[in-house]
Amino acid sequence: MAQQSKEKINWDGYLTLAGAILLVLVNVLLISGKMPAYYRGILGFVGINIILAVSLNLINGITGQFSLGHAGFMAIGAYVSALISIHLKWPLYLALICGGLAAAFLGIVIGLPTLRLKGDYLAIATLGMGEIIRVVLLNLDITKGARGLTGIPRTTSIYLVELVAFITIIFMVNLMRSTHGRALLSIREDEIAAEAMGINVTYYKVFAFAAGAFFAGVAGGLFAHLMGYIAPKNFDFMRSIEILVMVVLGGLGSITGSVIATIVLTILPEALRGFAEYRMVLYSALLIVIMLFRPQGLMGTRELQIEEVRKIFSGGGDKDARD
Amino acid sequence: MKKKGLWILLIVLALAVVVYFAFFTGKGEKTSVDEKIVKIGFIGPLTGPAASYGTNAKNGAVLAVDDINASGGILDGAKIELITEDNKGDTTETVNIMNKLIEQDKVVAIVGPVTTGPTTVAAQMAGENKMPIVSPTATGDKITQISEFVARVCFYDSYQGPVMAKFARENLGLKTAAILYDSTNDYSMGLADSFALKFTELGGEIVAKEAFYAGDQDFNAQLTNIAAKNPEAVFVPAYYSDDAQILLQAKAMGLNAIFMGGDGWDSQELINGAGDAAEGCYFTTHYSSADTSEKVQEFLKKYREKYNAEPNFAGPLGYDATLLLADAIERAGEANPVKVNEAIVATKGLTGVTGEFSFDEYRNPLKEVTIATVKDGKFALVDKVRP
Amino acid sequence: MLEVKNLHVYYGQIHALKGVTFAVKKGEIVTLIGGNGAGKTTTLKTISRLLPSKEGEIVYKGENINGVKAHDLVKKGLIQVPEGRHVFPLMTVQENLDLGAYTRRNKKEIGQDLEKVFTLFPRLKERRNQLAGTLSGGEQQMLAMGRALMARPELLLLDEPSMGLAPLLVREIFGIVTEINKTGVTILLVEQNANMALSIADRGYVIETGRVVLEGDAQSLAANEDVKKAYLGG
Repeated sequence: MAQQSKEKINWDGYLTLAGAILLVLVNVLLISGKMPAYYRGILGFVGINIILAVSLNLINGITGQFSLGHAGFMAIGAYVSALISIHLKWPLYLALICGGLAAAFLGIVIGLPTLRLKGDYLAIATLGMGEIIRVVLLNLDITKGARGLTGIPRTTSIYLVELVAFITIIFMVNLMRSTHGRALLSIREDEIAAEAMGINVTYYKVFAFAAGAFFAGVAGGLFAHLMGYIAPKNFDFMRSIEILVMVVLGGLGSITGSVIATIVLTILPEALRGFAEYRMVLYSALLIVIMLFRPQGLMGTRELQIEEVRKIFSGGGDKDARD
Repeated sequence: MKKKGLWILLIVLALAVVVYFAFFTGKGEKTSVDEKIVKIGFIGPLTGPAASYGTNAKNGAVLAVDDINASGGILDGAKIELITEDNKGDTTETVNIMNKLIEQDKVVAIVGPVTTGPTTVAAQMAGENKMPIVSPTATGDKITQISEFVARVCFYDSYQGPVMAKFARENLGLKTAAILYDSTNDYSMGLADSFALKFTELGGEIVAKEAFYAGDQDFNAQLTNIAAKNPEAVFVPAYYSDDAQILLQAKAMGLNAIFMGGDGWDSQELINGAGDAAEGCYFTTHYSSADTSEKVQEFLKKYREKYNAEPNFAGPLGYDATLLLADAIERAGEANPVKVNEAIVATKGLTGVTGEFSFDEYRNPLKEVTIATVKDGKFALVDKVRP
Repeated sequence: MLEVKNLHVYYGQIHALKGVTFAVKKGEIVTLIGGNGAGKTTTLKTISRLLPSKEGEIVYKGENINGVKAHDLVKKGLIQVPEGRHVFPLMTVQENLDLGAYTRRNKKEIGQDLEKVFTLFPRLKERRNQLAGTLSGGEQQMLAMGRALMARPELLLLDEPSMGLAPLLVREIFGIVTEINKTGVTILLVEQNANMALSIADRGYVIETGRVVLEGDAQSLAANEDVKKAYLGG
């Protein structure tokens, strides 16, 4: 990207390195059993939120389709997988995959008609979809309505959450590096030109919608099996907004941005507990400050890459490096 | 350049080590319970839609702690420290708070959560961590069956529904009733079902059952359907903000029936919101501020003095839950969560603000239900009944 | 190569094309000229299947393409350079060109074509790592054309390439259009700048209010009094 002068510190490299070290440290603590349940719990939510944010980024950031219904997909995955676990007693991984597929299927069914809409209209349509899902869940007998679903086996382990989060990130990175990723980006940039270049715009939009929905569904399944209890309230409009905030704060289109923002935004409310009732005020104030100083999000559209770390050790930043 | 890189690398590593020691070590070496302090946790929604219940419950709990500490504390002079956390009524937050209270604050027992959803999640964790929790206000029928470490001081949904049904049928002599409930709310559904069951069992007839969604502003469609069936009573198990709207709109359309509900009605906001339309309605609740008993009046006086506000029912229940815990810790003889829980289960005839209670096999309190009405713009006590 | 027969297109209630008929033979440059709103761009968009037609036939290389999807035409060698350029602004010039070859898999041929594009448009080579959104209008037009060439067109549809450009640049662009044509690419050119268009075209059609009102070889059209009066500023 931009020309790097020789004196400039390779921040991306160090940030990546710090992230890698943190990751190793966290896992050493986890495996050695030294991590308190409090942090383990937060880590679990961080992981689930990463899956949600990264998958929403595929739809909103990378393909440029403004969706406000991610909590709806999460809800479908949560309920389908929970009901499978309760009634059919299938193993967790099968339940999760089924939850994801159900969400993806719904993504296709809803995506085909609504993805013709643009911008605000699509946002409203997806918002409506999320609310419809919630209301349906409230009124079905099998979901136990507002009472919520109890007795879901609590089989989600922190390692599984980590694993799925990694799979999601790796899927997204590989996608971005492929021709398909280019096609998705070109749709965000200019739909007409993309179509004129022979890119099947409808197919890719629905693909992004379905893939995003799949991972959101899996995240919902993990959530259900982590909590042991889910209610429609868990998947309301505010939930969609929370995920959206993570994506926007991290930078629309940046996967690493989503990951960083998710970690910050999930840990922040807990770190601010000391401030009692001013906690959420501070949280919101911090969001405003960040958006004022970095309207393009923490990372913009940039990505952190392992490549940058290699540069540090090979005499870092001496050469203008393009990747 | 290379040197600079190494320096930064060192700083990053140093930071990591600092973080490691700051967060993950040392905590375990702290003595679990200070000689002179016994820590109790509080979980409830202090912000968000259910904040009025959470804040009231917290205020009640703080009052109880003040009272107990002022009269010499527990366990030969130890003071109770109440650690309050806001869960926003959210289950995810509740998980984090439970972990924090248990691990970091090392509390002996927990008052809360306040609403049913979070209590369900907290109940699972209470069982896993052998940490007694006493919910002041979670009325969902089954939550105390999740684990033997869960108790509550309020009655459960299907406990008050039949009380109102019996009152309507036998005391008021009503034969027909309609139900208007909030289908997005588990509490409302529970009450509606248990009321209907008892009312029909006693020979009454439910002539209409209409649903609305929390946050609806216009109830005319449902009320018109109900009016068409001409019931003598309309049972509305919902929260006060919806109730006030319903009462106003029913009055405006001339629906002439006795409106009744559950403890969700018990808020000054109901009278403020509905005005005249609230006159003559009946509801079951945990206590009445019009109750002249010494316990109630003393509590109200202290509450008004300290907070300069009127408590709703969550206030005295928060007080009673804390009182119950303190009593159990005292009887356990030590600040040990498992022993405290044994003492909670064994509670017999403890007198709190909301009445005298013992527990059934699922740690639900067996106590009186208060029936209140609105008369001349004020709440009035009608009766206290044991089902 | 391309035959358009009796094409009718509606925008909602508005009858935009009322039976347009024309043909393009292999190797030609054919231009559609006409005033604003006459239906030129509509015709082009309908051929590239971005707009649906109500009636009429579009036959490309002997095949009726009425039912073909827009993106599938690219593989058949029918490429459009849309009006208003439509480059991908947040991608580099190079990335834009790479996307032009989106439907192609032969890396070697793509590399050769990239070199050809850079020979035609040396400026794009200079700016290959620059973001397309930061290019000037003329450069963006060049990029849009270069990107289309990366798809190996047999028939290239050019929509208003002179739009908003300085006269000098227009001359340059049209020069390049002629050069592209010499490499064997058939060109259908839609232009408001009738003068320029007729100067490089073999044949032309004049479109007015959704109908072809005049047709002929470029020279005779340029000499036609009505055409002169209406479109050539004479």
